[in-house]
Amino acid sequence: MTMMMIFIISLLLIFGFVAFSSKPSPVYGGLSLVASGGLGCVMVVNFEDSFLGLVVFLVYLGGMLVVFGYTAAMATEEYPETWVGNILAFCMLLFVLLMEIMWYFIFGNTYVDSNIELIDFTVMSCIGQDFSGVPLLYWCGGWALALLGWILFITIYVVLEVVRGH
Amino acid sequence: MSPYVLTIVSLSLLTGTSVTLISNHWLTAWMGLEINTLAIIPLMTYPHHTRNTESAIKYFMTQATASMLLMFSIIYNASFTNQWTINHSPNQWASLLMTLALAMKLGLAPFHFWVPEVTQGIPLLSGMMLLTWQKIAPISIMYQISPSLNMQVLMTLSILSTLLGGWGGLNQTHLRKMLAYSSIAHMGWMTIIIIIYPTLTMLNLLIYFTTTITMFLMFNHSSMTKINSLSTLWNKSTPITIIIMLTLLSLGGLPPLTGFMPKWLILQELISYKNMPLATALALSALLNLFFYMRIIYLSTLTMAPSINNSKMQWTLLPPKTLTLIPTLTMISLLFLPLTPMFIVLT
Amino acid sequence: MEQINLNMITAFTIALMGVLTYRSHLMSTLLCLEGMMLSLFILMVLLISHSHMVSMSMAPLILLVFSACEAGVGLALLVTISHTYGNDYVQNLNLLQC
Repeated sequence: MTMMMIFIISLLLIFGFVAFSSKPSPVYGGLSLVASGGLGCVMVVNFEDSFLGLVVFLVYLGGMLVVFGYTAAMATEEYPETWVGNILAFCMLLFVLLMEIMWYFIFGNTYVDSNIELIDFTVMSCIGQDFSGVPLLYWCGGWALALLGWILFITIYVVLEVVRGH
Repeated sequence: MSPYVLTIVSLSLLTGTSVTLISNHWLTAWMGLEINTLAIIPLMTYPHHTRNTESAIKYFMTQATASMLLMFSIIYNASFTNQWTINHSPNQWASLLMTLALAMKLGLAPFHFWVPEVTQGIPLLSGMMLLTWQKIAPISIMYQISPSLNMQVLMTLSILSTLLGGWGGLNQTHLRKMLAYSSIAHMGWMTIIIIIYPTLTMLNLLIYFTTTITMFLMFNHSSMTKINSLSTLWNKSTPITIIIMLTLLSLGGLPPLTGFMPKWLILQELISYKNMPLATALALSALLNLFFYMRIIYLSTLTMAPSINNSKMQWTLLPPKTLTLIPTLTMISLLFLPLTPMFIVLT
Repeated sequence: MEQINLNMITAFTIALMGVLTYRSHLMSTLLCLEGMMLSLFILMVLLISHSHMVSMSMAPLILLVFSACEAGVGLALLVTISHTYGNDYVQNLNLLQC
């Protein structure tokens, strides 16, 4: 996939970010966060990081779908607020436009070099460099794994303690 | 709070701060900060009341935003210098962002609005943890990157927080809010010297800790949260009123007491760097702090409220709270001015 | 590479602006925090895979774990506050105003 495609995907991701950062009703916000998570997953995969892309797809998007379901369950309005008349979304879009124009003028013609093939299909192996994170996490990063396990345990503890008695 | 929860939560608070303190790598330092943020939440929400939940939400939001800003500046720094170690001096924009993120975590002036509100909503001992223990990790990171911090920005932040920390406390009637504003002012004193002479920051942190912990323990001893409950304090415990007066004067930095030591050294250091206007502004802003400490002293010690009870007995007998740490901490926070050279050597 | 990095920085800035703005729902703020985490994750992956920092390739996983923890605690606090008020409006959080 060319750099141009990834660039377009990143632009779409920015629009997704504008969509949830302008804070419409949380239903639409959650939906656009899921959409931008999917786009981010596509970006990461296209940078040859197939393993991390998979992790984002399975874990992050899975978690986000839970969040989305939660927001949909909590939504009480009959007609949730959309972006119509949202001045914040307009300002953010204007900001994005300004940034893109500024960077186009700063970087000039090299802004999007569309002819770079990022992935060389002849040497592409099934296991990317990003996969080495897992062996590292089991080997010299073992203490980090232990710490992460402890943190997840703490989180569940904190959540139980916070919502207890309500 | 059940002892199991308390044990696990305090263990992870300890873990978080120690991970930050021993780490040489930005990612682990950031992990330590995150663990600290997550682990103090149960302490804040413990008596399940709306005010506690609200202050936990405010604390969580601020800290999460600040730590993400810190992570962003770490990644930005790594993309320019290819370095993930703390000791490597960061890119100047990354260093600016780090300064802002850590200022948000510490509650320096333009980002200080969460400190009084969060401190007021939580119990006294959690407030003590929030104002003392939670400051260690961010200020240790700031200490490690102090040579590459942005001088102008940090000086502006700290002089603003000494001024606003004095100013904001003027009209308050809640003791926890007053202590929160005093914490903001002290953070300003600590960060103003961190580039010039980082050792003094640690000294100031140490003495601020002892004095603030003494104050909180004494307020906790007689369960006082408002200024008007101070006026009947002499009924409950007479020595406490004197100790409160002396500790507050030490917190304000009056000469024969320990609190004078960091202020003296900081002002001297600033003057020796030919920074007279800043030193003058700092010394004057300490007066604002002293003013609202004097209000507490006036109510608790200098006046005797028109009492309605003639006996020394209280109308309800609460189980006695422990006095274990108070005498030691009082001595440290009052009488250690002659030991200034030892403190400088130790820190 | 450069332009994609810059786009991700823009995305992070927008999510930060979203966190800092005041609108009705607390849930939207939590979503913005998650979005900040997402953009940080992508930035980190791009950096690590672009400059071949093999020893750092476990960092995105760690970041993801922390984002899950923050989301969990944030949702728990949201549930608690919505138990009290019946909704998650930010304007309800006014008990402690100075």
